[in-house]
Amino acid sequence: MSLEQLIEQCKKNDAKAQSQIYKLFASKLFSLSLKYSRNHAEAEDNLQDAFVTIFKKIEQFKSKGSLEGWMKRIAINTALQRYRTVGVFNIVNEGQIEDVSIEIDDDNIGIDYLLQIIQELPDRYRLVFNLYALDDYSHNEIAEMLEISTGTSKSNLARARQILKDKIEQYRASPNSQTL
Amino acid sequence: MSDKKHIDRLFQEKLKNFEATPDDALWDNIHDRLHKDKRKRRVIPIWWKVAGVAALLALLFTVGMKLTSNDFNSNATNPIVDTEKQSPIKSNETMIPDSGNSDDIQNQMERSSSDVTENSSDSEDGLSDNSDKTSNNKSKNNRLNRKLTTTPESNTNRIANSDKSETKGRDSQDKLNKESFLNSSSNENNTGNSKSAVVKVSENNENNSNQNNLDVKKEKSEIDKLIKDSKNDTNSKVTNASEKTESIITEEKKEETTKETKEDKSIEDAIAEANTEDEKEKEKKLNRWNISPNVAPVYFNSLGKGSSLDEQFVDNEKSSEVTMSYGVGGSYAINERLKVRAGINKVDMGYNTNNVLAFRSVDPTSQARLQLSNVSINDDAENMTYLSTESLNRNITPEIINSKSDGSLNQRFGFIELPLEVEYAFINKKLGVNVIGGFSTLIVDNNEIFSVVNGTETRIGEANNINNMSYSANFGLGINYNISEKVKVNVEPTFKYQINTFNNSSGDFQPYFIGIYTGLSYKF
Repeated sequence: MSLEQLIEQCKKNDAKAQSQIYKLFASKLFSLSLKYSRNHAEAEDNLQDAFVTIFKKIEQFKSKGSLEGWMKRIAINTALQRYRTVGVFNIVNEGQIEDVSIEIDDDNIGIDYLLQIIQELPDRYRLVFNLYALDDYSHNEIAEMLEISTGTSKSNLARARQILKDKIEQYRASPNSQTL
Repeated sequence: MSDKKHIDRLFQEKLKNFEATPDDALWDNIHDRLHKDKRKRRVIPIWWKVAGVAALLALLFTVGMKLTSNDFNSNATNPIVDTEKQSPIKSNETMIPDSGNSDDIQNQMERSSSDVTENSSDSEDGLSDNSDKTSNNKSKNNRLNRKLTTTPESNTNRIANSDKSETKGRDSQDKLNKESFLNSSSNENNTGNSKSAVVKVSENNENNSNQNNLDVKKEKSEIDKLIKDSKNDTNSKVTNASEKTESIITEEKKEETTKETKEDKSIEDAIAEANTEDEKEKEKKLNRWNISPNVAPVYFNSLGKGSSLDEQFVDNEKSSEVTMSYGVGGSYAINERLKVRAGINKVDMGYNTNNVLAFRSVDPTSQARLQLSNVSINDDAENMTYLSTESLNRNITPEIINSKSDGSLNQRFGFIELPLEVEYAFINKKLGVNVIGGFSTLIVDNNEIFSVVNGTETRIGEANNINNMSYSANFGLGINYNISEKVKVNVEPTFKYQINTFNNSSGDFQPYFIGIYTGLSYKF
């Protein structure tokens, strides 16, 4: 069955087609959720909520764009919604910092560790870093999505980078202590 | 700025192909959330009957409570009506200020008019007699007149009458001469009516009164003069005439007043009619609800030959105990003939399977073989064996068994019964006949099996094939007798065919029970 046919079936709330779509995209959306979440459990919750929204709103999906892109946006929005309702966006320090250039050597750092330090970032730093560095949103878009100013977005990104860099350097200095 | 991108790029490149597989259980959760609505719908048909009964009961009670509170209100007005009966004129005086209540006014009118007609009929008799009695008549008539005038005094209403009666009084004097030779008795009759009419009018016209008080007084004096004239006349004929004139005057009044009333009716009647309609509606509503406690002897049996206990008892002789059912029901009358009823009853049943041999088996293996299929045996009765004598060939069974006397198995079970029925009245008089149809939900609340040998009962266990919830289709014939407007005696022989009560019964076991439901029903 082609993807279009699957989508058509999903629009009729067909459980088999939904299952197929899920199988096709679950791991991609799960990795995305992992990056936007604090931990594994939260990522699972997010994935679940995202798929429920996807199948409930699949009628609104126009075949013009890619299904994957559309689903990703829903998954991201679901994650943002989670922190928006919790109200954590305002917790972090609003002080502006200069965007310093951060250089780092690309040697063998494990994916797990990278994911871990992303998840350890304060919520808004994590979201801004994800949106800007990994998912190609502009500061303007991010400002709108998170209901913050572009300045705050830029500053949050710089802080996120700084934290990540520090952690990676720490890791290099004493890799054994960071394998937790 | 290539440096700046470095860390971003590091993450981008490293995480580009990163994929993690979520837990398999996740899809189940998602699926459940997407399709839970369907599952809910599937559950509904199983519960709708129970929910329906519960909802109807709740509805009955809530609406019933509201109506009973209305009932109290209407009762509160009744005592006033009673006092009227004792002293109609007083009540006129007291009631009239309360002009809003059209019903009361009507009652008063009727009563006062009946008073007047009594008096007038007295005077009629007197008139038809000789002149000796006419003096008595006069006094009676005077009394009448006084009443007429006194009631106006008490009522501000009469003024409207008096306005008209003034002019009429004069006209009527002229007419009086002409008409004085009319048949006195008929006139008298008319006077009775006319007086009552006057009273009515006076009551109707309450509102107009104040302005016209002066006129009324003048009028009164005129009438009084006429009356005095007639009194002073010692000639009996003249008195007759004067009486006639009086009557004519009153007749005139009546004519006028009736005209008046017609005019007034346009408004007042409209109000009164509206009120009476409301009243009627209320009355209907008040009688829609019924509550009826009942008690019934119940007889349980099966339509076909079968057994709910075990296959071997299919052919055994069975007998039913007469047991009791009691409970309370409520009904709502949709119209005069059709009622919806619901209620709650406790019903117990007893059913004997006869010709059963009970003996203690020594050999545990044979005991296992002879267990009853649908009975959970108590621990202390575990090594008992129950055999149907029908299935035994006396010639080949051991003497020990043959010498045993027959016993029986007595099954007792009880239900909480929630009936939901419709009742249609064929005859709806003092003695009523109706048919009843509907269904009941039966919830098991008692389940026991006893063995009865030589008159001693031993509880051996309980049936394991009675469904916790089952149904019955009900059909009954009701006869009721109205003791009073509110209270009825009912007798309702009802046949209830049980559905889905037993699973795994043997033979053609079709249980039913018959109850003669007897009770009182109280309307409110």
